[in-house]
Amino acid sequence: MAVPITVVDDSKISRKMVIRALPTHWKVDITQAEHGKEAMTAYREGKAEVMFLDLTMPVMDGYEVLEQLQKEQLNTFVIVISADIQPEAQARVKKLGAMAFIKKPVKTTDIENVLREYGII
Amino acid sequence: MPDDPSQSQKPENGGVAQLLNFIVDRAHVGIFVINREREIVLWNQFMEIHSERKADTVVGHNLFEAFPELPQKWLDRKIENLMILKNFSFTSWEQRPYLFKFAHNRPVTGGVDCMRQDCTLMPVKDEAGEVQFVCFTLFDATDTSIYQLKLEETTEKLREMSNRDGLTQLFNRRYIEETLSTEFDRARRYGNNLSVILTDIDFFKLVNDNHGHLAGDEVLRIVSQRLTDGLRGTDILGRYGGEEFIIVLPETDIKGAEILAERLRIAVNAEPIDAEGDSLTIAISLGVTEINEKTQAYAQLIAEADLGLYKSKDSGRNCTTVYYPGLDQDSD
Amino acid sequence: MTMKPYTEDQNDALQEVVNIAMGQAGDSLARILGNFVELSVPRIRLVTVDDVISTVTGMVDTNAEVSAVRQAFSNSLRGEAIVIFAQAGADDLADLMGYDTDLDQSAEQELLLEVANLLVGAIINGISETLETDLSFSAPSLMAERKPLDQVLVPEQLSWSHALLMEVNFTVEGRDFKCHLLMFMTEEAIDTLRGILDEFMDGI
Repeated sequence: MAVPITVVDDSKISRKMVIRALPTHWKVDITQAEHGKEAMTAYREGKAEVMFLDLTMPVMDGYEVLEQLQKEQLNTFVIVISADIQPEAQARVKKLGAMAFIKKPVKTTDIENVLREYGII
Repeated sequence: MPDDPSQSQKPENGGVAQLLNFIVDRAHVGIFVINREREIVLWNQFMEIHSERKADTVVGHNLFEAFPELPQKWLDRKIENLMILKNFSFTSWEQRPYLFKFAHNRPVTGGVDCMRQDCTLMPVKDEAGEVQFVCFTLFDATDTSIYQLKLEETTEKLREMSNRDGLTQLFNRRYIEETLSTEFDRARRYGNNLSVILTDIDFFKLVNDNHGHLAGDEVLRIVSQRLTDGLRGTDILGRYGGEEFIIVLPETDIKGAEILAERLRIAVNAEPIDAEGDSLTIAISLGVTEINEKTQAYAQLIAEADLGLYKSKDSGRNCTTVYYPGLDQDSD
Repeated sequence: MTMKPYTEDQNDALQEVVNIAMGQAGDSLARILGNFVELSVPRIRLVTVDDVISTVTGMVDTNAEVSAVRQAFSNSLRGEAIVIFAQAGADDLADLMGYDTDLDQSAEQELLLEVANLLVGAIINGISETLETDLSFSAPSLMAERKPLDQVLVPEQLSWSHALLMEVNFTVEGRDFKCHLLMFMTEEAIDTLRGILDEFMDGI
């Protein structure tokens, strides 16, 4: 069965870059979200077993999504995808419950490594 | 050389390497390479000539041991950063005149003590993207630095000239007003004293009329000199107009300004001036004022000093008047 | 500004590329300063020679004096990058980088050049890697020292009519350090970049 995933980024090209970098053999059902609010809706509709989450977005940013998920004790596998690649930025989002951090521009090997590490593929 | 150049212009692969070796070695640019351990691995001819050290005596040696005069702490840090950031890095003679103390090639025409250098540090990465070597290129910037130095001197001279009055070499009106404006703001900000003296040569028109303009010019020059000699280090004297002078006195109250004004008046009048063969006794009239909490702008200080000066002229000349509010009504 | 040099998709791609490059610059800076660096969201504007000063002063927004360093970049795209340091932040730099704080003027200038070079280098490399295009950059030079912001750029010296301006600023939490990085590309480069962006999007 295909895994429902949501790719959250306000940039269309950035979502496209993530989707293109997904491992080809990984069967997924992709939903796209332009900001945190759409991502939360997608999650509640069961479309985000795995969430690829950008941090800087209008309406509701990635940090707010992480906080919301934590507050409501919601269960999804969040992979933060960000251009801010400082170690401290990575530590901050992991503290907020993100499982992994991948730097932009996204590479297939980076996604594969994370998914493998957690036994998702 | 082969006969057919069209066939021989492209060297074989081995030939290219040979060509590159030749260029690196003989280019009129310093080129040397160090590895991660800071050991020199390449040292070209330019470096050999200017350091007076043959490649075989430095290659394999630690850069800082071979050249202890290098700014090790700073340079080592720069190299370390380059390894981490994997970026080109630069040094300029303008901030750091040289890396290596080399003689320059202007032993005769000179200008600076040793070769000025611009440096580029280039990271050389392996296939994994890690920096294995750092390549330095060192450019002789001595000529540029000398031109720059000359340009700065000329600019400074021009600036100085544009602030001066040609005849007396005192500051001109524009400069003195700028200065007064700055001093006014400063005094306002810090609550300091500030006084202004305005002075005018008595009967100057008669000097010109009776003794000629050359004599007049000489009088202006001598009076300027006597005023200059009478000033303290912080006082700023300028030629305000024809035979009118202005003195800005930072951190000086009215009492101090009046004492100085009187001293200047006496000094100018003390000895006759020899102007184009004529011996002339010259006197000046002065007006003095100081800043107070009611002073609106620096121009007001000039206006007040001018009223004092007018009063001095009115009271028989060769004297000093301190401005006070209402002075203009009294003088009617 | 009504003129739009790029389509919505091209703008989106450009914004993303600049985000990535600025992120790398921020990371480089953080490594050298040993502090977490806050990055602003990059702003991209088309400016004319008449409004460039007001746009820049609006972005940098300071009454304090600044120092500025410029660097040229060239190859597939030609332009200039200017890094503007708020003076208080420039003074803070020596301390942040672990130098003695009473540096002489040359050593201070050298620090500014070093940091500017690091930021510009990281951004140029970031852009060139992401867009798979060749870019190189020149040595940095000081263009203004302790001057009011509006004296950094001299309108009479600008010989273009339109330029693409990309801005990001870097601050360090709890410190005075702040700097703005401005990248300018003029008409010709704006056109070249359009083609490069299209190729980039086609490749995804």
